[in-house]
Amino acid sequence: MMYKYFGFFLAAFLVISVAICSWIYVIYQQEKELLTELKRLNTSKSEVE
Amino acid sequence: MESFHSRQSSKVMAGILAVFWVVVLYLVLNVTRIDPDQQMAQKIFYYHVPSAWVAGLGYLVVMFAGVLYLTKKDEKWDHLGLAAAELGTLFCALVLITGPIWAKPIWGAPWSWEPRLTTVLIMFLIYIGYFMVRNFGDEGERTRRISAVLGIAAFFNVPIIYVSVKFWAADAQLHPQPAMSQQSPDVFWTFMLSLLVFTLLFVHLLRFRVHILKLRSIVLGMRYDV
Repeated sequence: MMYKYFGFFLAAFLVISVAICSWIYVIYQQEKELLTELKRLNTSKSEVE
Repeated sequence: MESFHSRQSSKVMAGILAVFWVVVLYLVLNVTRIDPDQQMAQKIFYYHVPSAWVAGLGYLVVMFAGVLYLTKKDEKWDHLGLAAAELGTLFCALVLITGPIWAKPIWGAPWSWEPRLTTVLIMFLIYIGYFMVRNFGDEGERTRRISAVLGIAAFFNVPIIYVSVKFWAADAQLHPQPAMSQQSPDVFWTFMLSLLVFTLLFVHLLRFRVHILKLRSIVLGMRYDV
């Protein structure tokens, strides 16, 4: 049996889940870029030395 | 420096959180009772209230980190403050979105300028100001100091939000009053588990964000050196 206002509950649940997952995805991408940059900088530093 | 999720403890915590996220959803849908008036809309409460709790917790961490930054001048406290402010504001935004989703079928309107809703919106706007300071200011010590002071001052709104359902006159109130002790065990324990999962999620995301800010600081320092 489908209860009344199920759509409202689903909307709230999805908003929270999608927002948290998106936040994690953005931060994860940022971490990936920073680690690549760090690797590049370490290589440049070694070449200069 | 290694990736945050290459650490064993981070992987385990991420796995536990994913499992418990599903467990809470199962309990909310299949175990907790259906409210005869609000029906499924009432179940938004299992996500709305823990989001509000985590937002308050985030702003509490911003306040402590601000005090520690001003006294110790250590960059790590600034990182903690910024990470907690971001998370606090993310969850505050979720409170401001899920509240109107619940209010639309129950009140007949998504928003009312009543004390609880208005004070939460003020908190959110104060933190928009906090991020404007962070973004328009430079990376230097002055911006960090102003942000720390703003984070400490902004926290004084949190107790006002908490007492707002009692402090203002009863005829101005529309937000449901907290009465968890009167709830049945299925509602009470599901709510407590949801609260625990949101708290652990906050701690995990906070550690992740602090790790990124530290990494960013190292990269910026190395760019300057090279």
